[in-house]
Amino acid sequence: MKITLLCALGMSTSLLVEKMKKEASKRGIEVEIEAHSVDNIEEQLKIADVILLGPQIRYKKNELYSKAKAANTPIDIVDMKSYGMLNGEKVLDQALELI
Amino acid sequence: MNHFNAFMERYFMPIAGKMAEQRHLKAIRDGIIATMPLLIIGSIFLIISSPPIPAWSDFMAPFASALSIPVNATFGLIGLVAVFSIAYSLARSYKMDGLSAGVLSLSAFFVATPLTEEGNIPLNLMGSEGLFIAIVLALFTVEVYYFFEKRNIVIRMPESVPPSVWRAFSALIPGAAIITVVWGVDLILKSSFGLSLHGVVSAVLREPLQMFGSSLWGALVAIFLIHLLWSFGIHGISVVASVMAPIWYSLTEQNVAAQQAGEELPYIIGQPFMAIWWAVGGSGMALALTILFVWRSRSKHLKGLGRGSIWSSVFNISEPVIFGAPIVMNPILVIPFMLAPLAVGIITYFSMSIGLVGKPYIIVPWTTPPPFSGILTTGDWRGGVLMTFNILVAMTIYYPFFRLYDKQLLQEEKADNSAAASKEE
Repeated sequence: MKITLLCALGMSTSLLVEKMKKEASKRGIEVEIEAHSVDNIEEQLKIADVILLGPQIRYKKNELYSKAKAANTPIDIVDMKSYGMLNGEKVLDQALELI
Repeated sequence: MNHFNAFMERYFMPIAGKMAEQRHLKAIRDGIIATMPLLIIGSIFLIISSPPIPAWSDFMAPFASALSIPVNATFGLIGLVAVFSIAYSLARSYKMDGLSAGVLSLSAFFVATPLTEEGNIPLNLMGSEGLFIAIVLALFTVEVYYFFEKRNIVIRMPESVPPSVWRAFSALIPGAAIITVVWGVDLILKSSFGLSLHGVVSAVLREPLQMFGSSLWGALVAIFLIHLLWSFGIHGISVVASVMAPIWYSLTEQNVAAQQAGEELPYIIGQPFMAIWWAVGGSGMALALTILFVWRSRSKHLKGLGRGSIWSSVFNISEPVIFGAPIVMNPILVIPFMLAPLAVGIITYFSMSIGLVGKPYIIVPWTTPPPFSGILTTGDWRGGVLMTFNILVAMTIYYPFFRLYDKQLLQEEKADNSAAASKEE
């Protein structure tokens, strides 16, 4: 299973990724989690099981959602508060629910 | 507030989205980002050749001309590199062959470059002076190329031909058309008006844009827009920089040229000013607010957020604070979030214009922590002092709003606790 997080440059999301990895290993879930720049979406759509977007790029929502739909990959925007608080637990739940 | 939010979501977001996604703007931005490694490497050589310590600087003086070689080969080539990489990015966005487009645009760029009297390539036009014509010609080349491809006016080769050969042939007709048109226009300008394409683009595009971009007002408008976008949760810099980046880079490169020539730096605003100076701890001078969270907050939420995000703030990543506090759609915190960077921008501009602190000319990665970024970008230790002062100013501006919000959260937390307690009873 692979979860991909996308934001403008993949910087702030990478902080969240670390928290999610910790939470996943605590729960004993086998999962690969990565952060990338939104420009890599095409590539990520081919390999990720679910895509989460940082809230700061939600202005690109329409375009990204239609791409994800075409690739049949579930996609969602991370809840702002959990994003800011780097709440790995909640965001991991959000990703798992989508798959 | 809810009506307003809905209004913004419906009308404002799509506009911001379209601007950031606009094909040509995006190609220009990506093409210029491709010059980034060169700029940072060039900056390292600049720091070595003219360091902030006077004794060292005297010691380095005899090596200045040797050190100018790597600087010229990095900074000095941004126009040349940009024409290729912008054409490449735009062609890729049309799903066309980026390499051919890049190669053709390079040639077009040289057709439009007036040679020196001795018939040499003028180095100064390869750098930022050539950046705007680079943009114009890269876009022109790819649009013409695309026009031919769409109508299938290209020489097609059978499938079995290797791609490198096939590419060369498919670029022949559009390439010849592009070079001929640029050459023809340049010849007409030269023979009838005594102008070059370079000169015309410079007069029409570069100078007015630079005048706006280098002014304090231009910077304040940009800073204001970036924070307005952020306060709705939109990555403000990527939207605004997609329009302004060429101007900022070009201003900085002219500072570099002046520094190398030992002249006074012409501009204060430029890439380092816009990437570093008003954004200590990320957009909104967020480090100041994070420090207040750690140091003075009484609510659990802000204390936790502060502790969790102080390190990312030190490296100028502000998303945790912007979304965690949150600042987005928060009527209390949005006010200082806009005021602090504007105030810092004004203070910095004036300190530099009266010569209290050196003008910035060195590009460092935007994740360089303060106050080092202040020292490195200006090559002046006083830059570090000014940056520290700026953080204190931002803290002062944030403080009353922070107190108000902290109090509000504390009350909510108390209410929650007592509600939880009464449930347990």
